[in-house]
Parts: sequence; structure tokens; C-alpha cells
Amino acid sequence: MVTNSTRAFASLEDNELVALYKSAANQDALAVFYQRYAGLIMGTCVKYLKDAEKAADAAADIYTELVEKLLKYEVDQPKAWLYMLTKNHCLQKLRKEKTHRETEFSEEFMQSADDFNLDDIREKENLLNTMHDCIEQLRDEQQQTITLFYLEKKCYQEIAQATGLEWNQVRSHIQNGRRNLKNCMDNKHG
Amino acid sequence: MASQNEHILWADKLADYAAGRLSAADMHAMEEAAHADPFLMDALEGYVILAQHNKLSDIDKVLAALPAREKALASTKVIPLFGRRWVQWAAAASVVLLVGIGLFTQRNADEVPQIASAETQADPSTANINPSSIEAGDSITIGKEKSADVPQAIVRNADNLPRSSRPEKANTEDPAKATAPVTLMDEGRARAMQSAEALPILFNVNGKVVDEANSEPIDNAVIALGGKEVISDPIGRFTIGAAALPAELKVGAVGYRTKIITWQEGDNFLQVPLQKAPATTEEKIVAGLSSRKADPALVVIPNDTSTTAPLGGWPAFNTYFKQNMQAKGTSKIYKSVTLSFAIDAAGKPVDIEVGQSPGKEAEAEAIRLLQNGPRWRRGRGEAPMATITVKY
Repeated sequence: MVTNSTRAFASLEDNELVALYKSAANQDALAVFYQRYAGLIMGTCVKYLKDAEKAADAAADIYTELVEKLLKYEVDQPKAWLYMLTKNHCLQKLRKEKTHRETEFSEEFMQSADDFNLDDIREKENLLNTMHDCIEQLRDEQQQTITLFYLEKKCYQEIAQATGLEWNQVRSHIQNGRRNLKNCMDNKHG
Repeated sequence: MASQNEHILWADKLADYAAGRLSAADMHAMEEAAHADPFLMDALEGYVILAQHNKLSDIDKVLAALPAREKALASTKVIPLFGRRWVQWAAAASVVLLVGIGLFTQRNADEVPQIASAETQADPSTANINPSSIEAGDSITIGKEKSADVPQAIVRNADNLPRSSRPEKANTEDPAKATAPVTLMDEGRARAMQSAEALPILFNVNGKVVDEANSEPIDNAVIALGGKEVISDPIGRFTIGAAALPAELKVGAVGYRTKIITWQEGDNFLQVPLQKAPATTEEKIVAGLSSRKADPALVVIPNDTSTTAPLGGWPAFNTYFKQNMQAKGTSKIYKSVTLSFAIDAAGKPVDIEVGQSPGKEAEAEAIRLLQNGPRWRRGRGEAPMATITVKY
């Protein structure tokens, strides 16, 4: 009985797993959902907490939190919701420690859940070839990394080697460059 | 739906990304996916931080200990999604392999004999895989016809390798190689790393190579299975595809005894402890200057003291140049060629620049040998640049 249901779980959508948990208190469904994102949760916790052990604790706590909170809230987009839950959890931990200033990560925390579903980001990426004006307005490093990533299809590691930047700097320049490009495009096309 | 499967798939590849086990194209695809998915991007950042602090290996233990793990595990073993996902990867892998065969047919001809000669004990695994031995035989034939321009040492080994493969002969004929089977394997590695095989990969073998004495991870160890070789990452980890189980892996590293270890059905992770080999005379002359005394005719000198080095070590690299360098140049001033180059992610020398040179011919010859030679180990925490001087 249990085996049959768990076997089917992995092919279910996130929404279906969450619904199963909420309606039937099915722990296996929740476990499969959590496990699906365990790597993302762990990585995200490491990013914010900067510590593997703290991240491991946080990831375990998040599971406990998930058990309770999923029952309380209406969740339309489980993955986006889990992401917010994960970030909030880390934020709270950091607040408790009081050793980190909130401002350090404010910008990325402010990223709204809307951004999450911008599938059209991908479509806009196709327009990059026609965006020379905007690209040329970018700061040197953003321009260089964006060009290498999109036009030459280099990965971060290759870009880091080519430019002498750190992986994280490459990531940051590309993300900021993308944001600036998007703004530039929005301005040009109303 | 497709997108959900896609990001679940990437979530499983975080550690591979951070450990540098993905191809550049896969990394790029993953980064592109992360641009549209801040959750994935945050996780990626986290994993890169882990890799920078050498904590990647810990994370598996942590993930395994998470509360949801046991429950989910029961289902992940049998789930249809897992199967589907797996098939996708397997399909992608076999496309790569097929392309690989086209590109590296000639290389195969080079590497097959070298791998064979590295096998000091007769290896039953080469004999019992029928389809592969047929294919390997074919590529040897093709390779031989074309092999006029490959370095002599390699051609000689190829001649020693009839289809029945007689590794003992190859070893007795070249005393230097007979005394240092590990080095030999390393020489073959440069080519073997490009190895491709037609057999479908049905099982992923995962493991970690460590020092038997102190359990320290060993990087750049060579793991050979069938006709394929991979090298371990900075924390000793490796993944290699197997066509059938049980699979026999041959694991070697510079300074260690080569070990044969079997991956059984049901194994999850293979810890491979290697025993330190007694220091050979070859290892003692790694520094370069002393090997210059040993053979004043030609020597390759590393121009920096960094840990950047050719895979297989400097002595083997010297031997390789010594045996293969034809043109010596005509310049009266310069008795050497200096080459500076970067080392790319795959360990290949790129952006080769010529410093001093005794003439175009010697220069081109040195570049050719460098390019056809072993791959390079990149020094830790340094710019991946190296300079060598080939002296006469």
C-alpha cells in the first residue's frame, strides 16, 4: 500500500504533493517534495549563513517548519514558497546572531516572488542579439561578462579564467548586467 | 511540467557543478537556468562557497542525514520520474560518446596500447567485453594506417599491441616504463581522458580516492574502466560510467600503487584507499635540474616553482620530449625554446606563446609536442599559467 503510493509520488507535480500532504497528512508526499529541493535548500542556506554546519541545521529546521506551515497556508507555487521560507528562515537566524548586518543581503532579499515566474526572461534573452546599444552602455565588466556569457556561451568558470575575476564576481556582474539591460530595454520599448 | 523536471534535474547537479564535474556547456546551461530561478542561483552560490572551503564532501553526509531523506529514498529508488530523468541523461551521454568516437578515432589508436601497457597484471576486463574489443580492434587498425605522424614512442607501443594485447612485452621493452607503471598510465591519460566508447553507460560508479595511511583525498588520480578514464577532483571524488556490473576499476595516482577494485551491484559509494609506492629514482629527480645532469641532451625545465605540473610528472614529461623532439633549431644564441601557456579547465595547454626560440621549426615542434603531450595539473590558488624551457 505504502509502496504503491510512494512509487507514484515522484512523478507528481509539486502542487499535487503539497495537496496530498494537506488533505491526507501524507508524510511521504511531504518528504518527496522536500527531498526534491533538499540540494537547493542546503545551497541557499550555505549562501546566507556562510557555514556548512549551520546550513545543515537550518535545512533540518526548515523541514520541521514545512510540516507545520504547509498546513496553515494556502500555497499556490510550492517551489517559490519554499524558497521564501528558506530565505526567511536564514534571515531570522542571522538576526538572532546579530553579527551580520541586514543590509548586506537586502537587495537580493527584496527580489519579489513575481520575478520568480518570469518565464519571459528567457524570451528576452533571445533579444540580446539586438541589444547592442544597451550592452554598450553597460559598465566594462558587466559588458564583458555579459558578452562572454550570451554571445560566446561561456560558462562562469571560463569567464572567470578569461577575465581574472572570481566566480562570484562573474555571477554578480552578469546578474547586475542583466538587470541593467532589462531596465534599458524597458525604457527603449516603453 | 517540462520546466519542473528540468529544475529538479539541475538541483541534483549542484555538487557536480561546484566540483567542476560538468562540461562547460552543461555549466552554461545550468547558469542560464539559474538566471530565471533565484532559488537555483542562491543554491549554486552556496555550493560554490562549499567547494571553495573543501566542504563539498560533507554535504552528502548532511543531506543523507536530513529527516525527509529516509522516507523519500524508499520512493526514489523505484520512481518512474527517476527512471525518466536517468534516461534523459543516458541519452545525452550516448550522443556525446558517438560524437566522441568520430573525433577521437585516431586518439583511440594511441591510447589503447598505452592503457594496455599500463596493466602490469593481465586484465581480464579487456578480454571479456565482446562488443568493445571488436570496436577497439577496428580503431587500432585505422589508427595504424594513419599513425605516421604520431610520436615515435607511441607508435612503437602500438606495434607491440596485436589484437590479443600483450602488455608484458610492452613493459619489458621499455625499462623506464616497466619500473613505473603509474607514470605510464599517466602518460596515457592525456589521450585516454578523451576516450570514447560505444557501449551504453548503464551505471554510474561514484567514489573517492584517498591515501590509505591518513585518509587524505588524492586528486588527479586516474580511474580507468573499460576504455575510459576519468581523474579525481580536488577532493578525490570521481564518477565514471560502467556498461555492466560488477565493474572492475583500475585506480592509480602518481606516487601510489595502482589498485584494482570492484564495484558490485548495489554499491552506493566506493572509497578507494591507495598505498604509497616506495619512492623511485624517477621521483627523486622531479626538480628538473638533477634530471638535466642525467641527460644533458635535452631537458624540459619548469620555469617556476609553482605546483603546476604535467600529469604524470616532470620525469615522464622529459622522457616524452626526449624521445619525440626532432627539430633542434639553428640559432647560435638560443639553445632552447621557451613556451608560456595557460591551462584550461580540462587541463589542456592553451594560448601558447613563444618566448626565446632557436628557430621556427624547433618552435613548432615544441608546440606540437606540448599540445600532443599530457594534460596539466593546475597549481592550487594560482593563475593557471606555466612556462617551460626546452633545452638542448
